Amino acid sequence: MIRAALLILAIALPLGARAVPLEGAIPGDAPPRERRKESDRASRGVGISLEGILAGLYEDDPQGSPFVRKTGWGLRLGWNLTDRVGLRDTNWMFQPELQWTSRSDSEGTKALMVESRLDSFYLGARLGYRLGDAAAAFRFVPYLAAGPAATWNQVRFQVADPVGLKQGADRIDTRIESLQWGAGYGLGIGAAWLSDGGDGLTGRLELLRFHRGYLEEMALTFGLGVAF
Amino acid sequence: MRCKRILAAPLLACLLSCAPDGDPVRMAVLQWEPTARTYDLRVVEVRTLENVAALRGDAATPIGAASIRLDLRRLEGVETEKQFRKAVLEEPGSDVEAQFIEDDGVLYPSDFHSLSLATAYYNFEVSRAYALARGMPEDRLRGVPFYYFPKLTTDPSRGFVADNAAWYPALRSFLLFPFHELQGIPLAANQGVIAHEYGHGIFTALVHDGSWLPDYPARWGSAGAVMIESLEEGFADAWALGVTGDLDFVERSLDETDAMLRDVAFDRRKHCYSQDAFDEELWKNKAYLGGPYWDGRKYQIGTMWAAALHRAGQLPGTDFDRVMDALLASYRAVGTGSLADLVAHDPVGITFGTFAAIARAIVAGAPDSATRTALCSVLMDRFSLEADELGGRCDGAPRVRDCG
Repeated sequence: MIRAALLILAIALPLGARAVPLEGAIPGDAPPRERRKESDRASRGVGISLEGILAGLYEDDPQGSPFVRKTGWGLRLGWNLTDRVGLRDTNWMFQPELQWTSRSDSEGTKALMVESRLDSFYLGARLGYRLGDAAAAFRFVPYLAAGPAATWNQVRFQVADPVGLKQGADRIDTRIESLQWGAGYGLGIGAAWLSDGGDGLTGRLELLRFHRGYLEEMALTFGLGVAF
Repeated sequence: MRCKRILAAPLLACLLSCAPDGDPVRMAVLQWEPTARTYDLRVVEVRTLENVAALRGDAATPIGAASIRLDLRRLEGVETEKQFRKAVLEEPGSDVEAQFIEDDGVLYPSDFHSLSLATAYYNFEVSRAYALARGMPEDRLRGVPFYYFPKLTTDPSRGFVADNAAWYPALRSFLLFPFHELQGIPLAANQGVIAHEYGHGIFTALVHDGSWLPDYPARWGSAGAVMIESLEEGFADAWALGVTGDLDFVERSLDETDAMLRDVAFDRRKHCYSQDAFDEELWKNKAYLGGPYWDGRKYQIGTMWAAALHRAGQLPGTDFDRVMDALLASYRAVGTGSLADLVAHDPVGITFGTFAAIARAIVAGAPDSATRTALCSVLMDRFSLEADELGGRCDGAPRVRDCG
């Protein structure tokens, strides 16, 4: 668990940083042939995974109810660094991920319509624990995740005052864009069905809490994709 | 307008949470632009916010997610305001939480409801500032609650109230209902509509001394009851005209038919009236008191008052703000003969049911002789009053002769 904690703290490190080998992961600690035989299928491929995601988002409600539910979709790119951070031959899994989620909505009347679109980018570090045997094709991996996030907001205000239009005024279209920084953290359970070569299908169900500026939201995310 | 700016979150967080009381916050809201004669997104300084995200301050206190049920069966045995609130507030509601993005020091609401709420707060702030400038004491309507999109019903099987806005004295609150069919400028964002409702609030605050349950309905007959309901609507429209200067504020949100009923542009058939005609109309329509006839007609009679006040404000030597000074003073400040005095001491509403009594109170509140003369000239003309009915203050004043 100390190792796990160290990895969570290390999420701000550049992804390419070479991790210091930790105790129990020193090369030569066991015969290479035996290690390959028992290696995790997830470590046999390139280590990249790509998932499509569908998210139910529970945001702060401007109207005062506990939350308002919206739907987002996006993509997630993961890079399995388990071996590189010295977790080979353990049940632990470490995977940084870049996630993009997009959602948009519009509400209003003919005279006043507000369209908003939020594109969230989340750089998460996912630390999981594989349940079951390393050689098994199907596995579950419960995990914790945390990382910085940024949200690109685009808001469009369209005003068409009915009296103004009658009197010759124009429709008014105003657009504002802004970036908000924040962070996300949460937990989930991943599933993978991998071939001998380490490629296969991946999926997950995840609950993340996001902070952006002074706002908060929960995201219940379902992901499905491929690993190779 | 197209803006792009990358700013750090801490700045926005500070703008929202660290603004000292009374420090202005620059915010984009929907406002009527008098020069372009249309609504537009405009950056304004909101000066009275104590909590920016909750949009709470001296001008108003928004309450979201409330559920109100006005069921007569539940009101049996209710005698106090506390009991009333407990009986009708199924869900008392909570703070709203507007969402903003920041650009160049300006907070932009990032969704429809945040814009609607921010605009509503600003509209209350402007309405309050106007009323304070006319002489309303500062302790009246300070931080007055407004229920935003409450679920209000008399019977859940008949659905919830929508497409309306109201001042509800029993809750000492404004109610800004959801929109279902209306497709114009949303009521909460229409400065004229908010100023109109605020006008009702001022009337309760001063004429009824803020009472949650004025006692006049139990005492008064039809004359006083119809008169007070009519003039409340007309005076509320006058407040809207005073705050916005926008003669078309109703039409921007409601349909044209509603707007025509409340058009203050002079129309002899609609705006010339008399005590005899009113009394005859009352006699013919007593059976409809509280029913559909007076529900619609009270707005038309109210518009006579609003149109008369507006006309007085156009006469030489005065302006509409001074006319509104007189109106506000007539509520309470003029003392004996004020509307508050009449409501308190008129046992059955006969006196209050006369145009002369109302006109006397307004003329008595005039801040200067030019305004008094203007009010006399118009009120005598529009309501066929004689100078000697107006307490000696209109002696010698000429009629404007709009009505002949």
